[in-house]
Amino acid sequence: MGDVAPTETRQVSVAVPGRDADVLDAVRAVLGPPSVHTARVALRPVLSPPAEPPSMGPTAMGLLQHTLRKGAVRALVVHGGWRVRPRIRDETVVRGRLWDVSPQLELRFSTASYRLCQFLRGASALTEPQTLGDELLYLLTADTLHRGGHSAAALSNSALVQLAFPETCALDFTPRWDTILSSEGLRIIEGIEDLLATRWAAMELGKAEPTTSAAVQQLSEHQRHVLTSFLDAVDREGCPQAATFLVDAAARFADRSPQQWLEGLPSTESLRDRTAAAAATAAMLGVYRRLHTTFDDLASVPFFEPNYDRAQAVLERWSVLGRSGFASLQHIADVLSSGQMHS
Amino acid sequence: MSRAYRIRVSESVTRTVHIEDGLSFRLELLDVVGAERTTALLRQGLLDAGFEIGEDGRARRTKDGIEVIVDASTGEVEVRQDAEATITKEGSLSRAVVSRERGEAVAKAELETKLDAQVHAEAEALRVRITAELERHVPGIQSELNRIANTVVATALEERARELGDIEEIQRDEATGELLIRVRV
Repeated sequence: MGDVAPTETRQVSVAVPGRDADVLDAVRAVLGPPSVHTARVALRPVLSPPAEPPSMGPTAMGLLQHTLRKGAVRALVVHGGWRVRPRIRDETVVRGRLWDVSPQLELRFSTASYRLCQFLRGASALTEPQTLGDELLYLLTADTLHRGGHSAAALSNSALVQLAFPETCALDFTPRWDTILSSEGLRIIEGIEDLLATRWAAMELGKAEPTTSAAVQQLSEHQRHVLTSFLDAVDREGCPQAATFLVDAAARFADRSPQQWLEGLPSTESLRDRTAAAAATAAMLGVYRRLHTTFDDLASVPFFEPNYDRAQAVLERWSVLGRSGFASLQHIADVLSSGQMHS
Repeated sequence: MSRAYRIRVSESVTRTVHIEDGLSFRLELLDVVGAERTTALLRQGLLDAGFEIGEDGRARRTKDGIEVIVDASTGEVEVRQDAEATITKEGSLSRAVVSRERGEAVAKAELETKLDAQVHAEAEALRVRITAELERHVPGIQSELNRIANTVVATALEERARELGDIEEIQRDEATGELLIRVRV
């Protein structure tokens, strides 16, 4: 991802069998510009897989590798990598875009990615993502499926998918975050921060849309489960910057009133059900208290400490929410859990 | 060749349904004078507001069909309303059948399912009415209990202040709930 030298653009036509073209279309829908139409049309067969999984010829395989290479970089750029931000690299903080700061970022795709591409056109067997490249492709596929109105449940063995779509993570399953919280993984998170923040904001704001208490309660329980597990791992690894997308998301909903939160619940539902939904939402928002504590801890790092610059870099990003935002979230959680939002 | 019959079955179902709704919350009580004394003050406040203390030690009051139960030792409050109703639904159904006995049994089962659905719909409508009624009363109940809890805290603070010295002045702001106690120690 270093400097790009000017290159000559040439149009080259290659022929691939129709089945291979279908797979390439699906992968381009995942890695190309977001479009609901593309997502719906190109990924439709996911819901009705053909009996025979397709295989790919060498030309199509070459095109697939080309698409993955370009598409993955494009995704990391548009979902957060383009922003000029303070970025923590080992012991130092460097300000810039992702490719300025991490020119040697490497993404590898294993057979899990290839199987995922085949899955998009009907092969039913998916394997667990092995590499960060696989994780990224899984996440982008889940996002494309979601935008097309499909469930991302089939991709739930990916940690990034669980993080962005917590409803796919079973409550009795402990997610593993070691791959995405590795030093390379943290760079990938920087490249998809906007996507993750948008997802978490949409989940919360969506609770005010017409829905049901059962749906809100279920989603909140899954969110809390994933968030607790993720923040445990973030604490263990000492990388609070990985949780910045949660702060970015919270900045989009912290100014709402507690009454607005669940106004999408039908008034015909029982008070007991609505109160249970409110309590589950409050419990999820309560997890943000941990980030508030981290915020205070980082703010108390004295300037002569070696990790001062890193602490300040995280604080700069988290200032979008700030102490008042964290306090506001706490107030919302308190009101929702008190059962007194009817007053 | 089989003969077709036209049959007509009539049925009546009567169901007794129990409908309930409610919510729980906790009163915010500062522990200024110890848990035991706080519990006693809250009990007294609830008795003054027309509650009765039950055998289980919890305070109860039923007003406008709404039962409020307060556990003074924990501050847990349960507000609930329930109702029992006997719902009767009648109906009839006619069908063209080949076998009279079998046709009657099938039609009867179909009619019962239909009538049960009508009973369920009426019970749900009743539950919605109860929920609406409860929702209308809940803010008033919560305000009343919050006032009682505030009085308990204020009384506890006064008692604590008396232990520290002579009270010279007490100022209460009913709007904000602020309490100022000047003590000569």
